[in-house]
Amino acid sequence: MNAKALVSFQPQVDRGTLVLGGEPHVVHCHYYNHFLQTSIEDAEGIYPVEEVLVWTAQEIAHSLFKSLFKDTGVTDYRERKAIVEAVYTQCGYGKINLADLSAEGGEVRTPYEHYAYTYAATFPPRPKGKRGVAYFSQGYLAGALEAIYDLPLGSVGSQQVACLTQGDSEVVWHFYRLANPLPLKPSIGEGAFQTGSLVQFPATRIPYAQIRDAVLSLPFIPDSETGLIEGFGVVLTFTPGNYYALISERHMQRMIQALGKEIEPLVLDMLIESGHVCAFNTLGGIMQSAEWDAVVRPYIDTPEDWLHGIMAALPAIGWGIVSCTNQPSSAEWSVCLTNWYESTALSALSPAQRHLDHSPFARGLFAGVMALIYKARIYERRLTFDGHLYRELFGEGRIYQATFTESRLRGDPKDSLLVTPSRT
Amino acid sequence: MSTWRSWIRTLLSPIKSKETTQTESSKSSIDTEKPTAPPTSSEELDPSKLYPILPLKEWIIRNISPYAWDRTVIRSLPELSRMGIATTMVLAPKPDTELPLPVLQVLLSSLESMYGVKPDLREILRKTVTV
Amino acid sequence: MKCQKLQVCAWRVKYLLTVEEPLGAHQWRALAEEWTGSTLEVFPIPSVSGILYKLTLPEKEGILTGSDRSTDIYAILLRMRAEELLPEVMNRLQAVAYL
Repeated sequence: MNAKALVSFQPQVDRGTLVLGGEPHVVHCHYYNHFLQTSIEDAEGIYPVEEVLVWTAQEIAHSLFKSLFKDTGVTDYRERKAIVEAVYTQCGYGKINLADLSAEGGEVRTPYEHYAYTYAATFPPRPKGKRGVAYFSQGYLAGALEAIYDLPLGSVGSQQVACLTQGDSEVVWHFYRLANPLPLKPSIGEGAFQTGSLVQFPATRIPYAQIRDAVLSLPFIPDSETGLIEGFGVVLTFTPGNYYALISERHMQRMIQALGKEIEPLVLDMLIESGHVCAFNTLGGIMQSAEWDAVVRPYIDTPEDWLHGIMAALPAIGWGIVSCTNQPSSAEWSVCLTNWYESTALSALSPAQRHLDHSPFARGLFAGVMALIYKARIYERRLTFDGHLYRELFGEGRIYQATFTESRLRGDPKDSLLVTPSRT
Repeated sequence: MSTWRSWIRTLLSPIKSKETTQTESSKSSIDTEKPTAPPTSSEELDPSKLYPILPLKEWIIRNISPYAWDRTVIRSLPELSRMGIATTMVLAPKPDTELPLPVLQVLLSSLESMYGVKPDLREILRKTVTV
Repeated sequence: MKCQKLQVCAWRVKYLLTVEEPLGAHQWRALAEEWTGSTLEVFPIPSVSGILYKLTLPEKEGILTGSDRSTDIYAILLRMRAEELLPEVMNRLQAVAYL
């Protein structure tokens, strides 16, 4: 069996998704990953954040690998481990060897794990004594272990016991069987997905479908030694979109449970900010890359074409299908989101099970893109992405704000988003 | 020793961490181990008096980011709760919201743990009075 | 040749280098041949008839990316070696630009 050959994303162009093991995956960069995780981790004194960050990953990985093993017909434990190792690397999470794991648990250690490596390489030293940053992998591997040995979801406990961010040379996790299972739920998979098509906007030369296809064909290949994916100058992962949506939703719920409704604006603000971080680093990185120059730039005539170009690329990184409802300008950008990954994930929950009534990440993201174009004027100068520029765009007095004029999570048939200059 | 393992070792050296702090765009989201700003002089303020909280919020928003204030509050909530401070007082302080010095010190401590920044509280409060 | 630092990111620094004309396949090949230990990858993008070039420097100390459609070349260099590597990258690009 060639595990690597069994592992490939299936682009669903009518949904704008990249599916593997029944799970839609989305591309994000390490800045976004750390920002969202750290924002949730800030609440560690309020509720046990591992129950959100680790357990959610465990649920998703369990469903993902159960589905993948079923689809491939692989029943041999060693072969299943090889598949997990291959998926882990294919998605840019790093390199792992599961040889020492058994149905009773065991230890996994690696010097290369996305969160730990990029944190250590990017940020100042983390305070001594804090737990490691590899929450996602911890849960992901616990869920994978359950799937490998056909164990029930929630039957494996886990702990991260070493981390690069604590000066250790490796990330180490321990896994063990639990007498009392964790209260976990199977993943929502492709959720309440929508289908649609990429609509070519008439007032632009930007060829939406060609750009989407071009981005789909780009080689995001993990490094052979580390399993980390470098692209556009940042470090990328293919992560189940359900993970981001559910940790955002669950964090909001836990915060409200603990502190009341008054805390909601603060949590929302954090989720909106994660969209700014993503626009700035991931999409900003894309807009200043050789890939963009080759694929999009030849068709750009106006500043608005930068918006069209980035919209065309989004389905190829798994975020759903985005189309303009009218010609954008610096005063207004109105978009329709089809199968936006966060909405699709959360729509699969019953209204009683969710609190978020829209995707705050999308609000920050699209406002952030507008700021890059009309405030930073990326169309006429190359930008230096540093703290100064970030504060200029997203500091006091944000330049743009976005609101959902229609939201599937409020019962509307579709998601519509309007970006306008912030009122000062 | 592989190339990538060597790199991470080099990157983790204390000499280079300063460069990182100055150039990275998303420092604001991550905890830091050591403060880089001069120490606060809040010790010289009167612990028995009440002080306005809004100037500190505005200073953080202006000098770090709006989000830094949100994070500071979230980090501080468990301690503030133990002190019996109502969440609403720190979530959305009004110009006349005044709180005991220890409350402001809790917020400053959270700020320092996350951003390595410890502003001079006296200076912030003095400027407000002048204005 | 113009040079601008775009971003310091994880273990890399991303620079933008602007040459006078887009480099063609023969120039990228020459760059790779002259730079011992480097690896050139060529990615045709049929849907937009473009070609991407990616040159990985020896010991993975950097990546140069460019396309046949732009005078912009991105040098994404190992942070700890970026200042030493950048002049060499620029010299080598200059050398092949007139081939």
